[in-house]
Amino acid sequence: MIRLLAPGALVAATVAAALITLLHFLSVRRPPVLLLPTARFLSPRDVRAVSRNRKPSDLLLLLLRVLALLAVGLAMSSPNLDSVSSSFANVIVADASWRSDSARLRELAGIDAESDVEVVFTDPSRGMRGELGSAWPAAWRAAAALLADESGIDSVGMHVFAPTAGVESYSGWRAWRLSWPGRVVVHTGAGKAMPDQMPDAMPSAIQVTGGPPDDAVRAGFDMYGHTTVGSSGMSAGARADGLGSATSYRVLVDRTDRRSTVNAVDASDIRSTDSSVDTSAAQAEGGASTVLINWPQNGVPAGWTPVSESAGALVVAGRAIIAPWHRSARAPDSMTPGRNRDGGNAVEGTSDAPGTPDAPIAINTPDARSGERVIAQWNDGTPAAIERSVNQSGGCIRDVGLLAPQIGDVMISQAARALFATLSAPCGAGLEPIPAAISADSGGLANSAPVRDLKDVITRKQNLSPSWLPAALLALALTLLGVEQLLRRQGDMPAGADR
Amino acid sequence: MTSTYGPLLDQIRGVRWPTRRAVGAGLPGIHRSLQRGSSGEFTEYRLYRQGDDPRQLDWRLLARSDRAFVRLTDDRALLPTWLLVDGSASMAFPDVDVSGRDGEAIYNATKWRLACSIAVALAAVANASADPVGALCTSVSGEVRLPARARRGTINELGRMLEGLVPGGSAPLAPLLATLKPRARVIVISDLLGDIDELLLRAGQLAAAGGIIECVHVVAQAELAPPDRALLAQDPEAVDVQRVFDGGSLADYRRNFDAFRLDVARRWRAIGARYNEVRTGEQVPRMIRQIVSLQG
Repeated sequence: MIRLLAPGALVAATVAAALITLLHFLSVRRPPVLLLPTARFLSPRDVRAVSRNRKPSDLLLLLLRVLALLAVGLAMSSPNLDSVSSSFANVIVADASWRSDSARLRELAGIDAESDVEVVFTDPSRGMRGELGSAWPAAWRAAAALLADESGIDSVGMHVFAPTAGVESYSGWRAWRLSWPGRVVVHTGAGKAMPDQMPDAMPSAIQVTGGPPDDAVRAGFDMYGHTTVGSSGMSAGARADGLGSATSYRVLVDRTDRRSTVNAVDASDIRSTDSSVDTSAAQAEGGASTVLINWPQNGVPAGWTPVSESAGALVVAGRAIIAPWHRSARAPDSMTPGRNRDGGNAVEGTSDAPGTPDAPIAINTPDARSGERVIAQWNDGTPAAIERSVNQSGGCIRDVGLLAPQIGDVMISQAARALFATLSAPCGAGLEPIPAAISADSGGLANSAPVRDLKDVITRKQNLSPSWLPAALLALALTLLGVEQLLRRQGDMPAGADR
Repeated sequence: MTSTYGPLLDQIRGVRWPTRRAVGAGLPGIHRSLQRGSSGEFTEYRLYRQGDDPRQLDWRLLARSDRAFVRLTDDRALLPTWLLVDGSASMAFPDVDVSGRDGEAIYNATKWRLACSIAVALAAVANASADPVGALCTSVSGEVRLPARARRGTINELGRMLEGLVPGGSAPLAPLLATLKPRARVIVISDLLGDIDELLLRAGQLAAAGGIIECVHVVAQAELAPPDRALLAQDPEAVDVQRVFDGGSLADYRRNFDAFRLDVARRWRAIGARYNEVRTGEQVPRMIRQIVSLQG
């Protein structure tokens, strides 16, 4: 089927052909000669006159001229030969964290291997975590690329893999959503544990490595690791057998001393590059996600800066733990108020004042660029513990920058329960999930976006297919005109006629 | 010939063609002469002067009054009439077949037929007054000259000569006009589409020398009202003159042609000649009476 990108040229050529046909009903020729002695009194002018005919004259010439005009018009209208069969394409927009596993996106979206798919990832520095609507520019670009590359596409399906939770803003989503002329499938939490679906989830196992045998941290996890932030009275080890939770995950607590040994330095180096080791450790094992807690017995977590300061209180899950805390590390600058925070994070109480130097960082608000969030902070607002998500596996790494007091009962006190419950909670716990109004929003449209509607928005690249077709049409037109000239010169026209 | 022009000649029988002014001396005829003679038509008395012919003395008056008077009388003279007939190609318009026609059509269907009829009729009128009649014609075969004669049979001879001519070519009339003597009546029968300027010059010279010039301008009705359809008008005397004739150019054509006719009429009258426009399709006897009338 021929599709014309510029049909106006063909329309113009058709009009011109009609005019030519009309002209063939007029004969411009020398009129009959009359011997008139007073001819000198006529004004000199062209010795041709126009007369009307009932039938078109010179049908062969008319046919050649009309065909030549139509061929030129068709060539100028940018014809495309499309295959008759229609096809369907998909656009998948996902967070940059899916970049390493785009094949699974197709599987999760339920797209067969034969369909054309354009997978795009949102800006890794900000992406959909900062503004869910940021998926749309990428989606439109991908759709335009699909339409430009595949001329036979009839409709385009749209799949958006939104972050599980913790999106800063949805204000741009609605406006963009209205512009897409078809159904949008929003995948939230695909392949990841969804915090809002497991508010009472507890780890199947808590494994503490390193540290002294009588480590207060180990004792704290033993006592409070299997409790939830909101629950009370849950005894330690109650779920240590891994039973009792529909969604299983485990907690690995690394209490390695990272201060004195060479091996520790090497490990720190490895960890400072973030985390290929930690990441692999936090990857799901057998389908269960893992929470890796870096809480060095001595030293600092990777990326943290060693300090030696005192603090009066630690704020965790809305509770303040009053104790003579010793702050041994300072969180990375990206998570520290007033240091290199150039626009990613929302500050407490507002969302429009990023980068305010002394603004404290809100707990449980993930950083839009790195996906990190503060899960515990000192009384001066600086982070005491942060959580970093690890790709789509659902695992995360939590860095703790406080020196656990080994003397006293602070770590096993009732006040410390919130700290250990928070540290052993599932990844992403406490984040705000994607609103159902967005995840279930089809825009009132049941089908994929038809290409004819997308054309109204997308300026398609003028790819001519096949590319030789206009040239062939022009060559045909020139040939026809050449034949027409030849016929005229050979005197096929009536004697005396001059068109 | 008689059968051809007989009806026409019958219709103009009795028509006389006196000159508008006195003519020079010549053989006795019917035209008033500038010379006083001894004809029987008394004009006035004059005192006898030495040298007068004594035979012109009025002896009875001398006896009664004892004074010598001579009787003066106007002389009458003949006036040679020359017909200059234009037989160029433009006179063969319109191109219609007149064979088999009768009545007026045979006299006025074409410009050439009309010119021939007028020439024969005027010659007959002149010849009826015993004036010598001669003719000069141009045709496709060249110039033809019929000497001026007053004898019987001259009209027939002129008719036969004109019947034998075929209009064509573009021979000028002015050289023929230059061969004529001044003391004559010259009738130019032409459509004036040829050498009009030269012809007017020669005619003016003749008129100044005492000649009587008459111009009969022959115009075809088809020239005044050409067909209203697309035509390529071609001058039969100038092949390179080809003009498109259609409804849009009709007004211009008429305006130009009318201006031409007015101009030539003015120029002929300016040299002292009479100018008459005759049109094909009109009655020839009426034209003849108009031409020979003293008015105009």
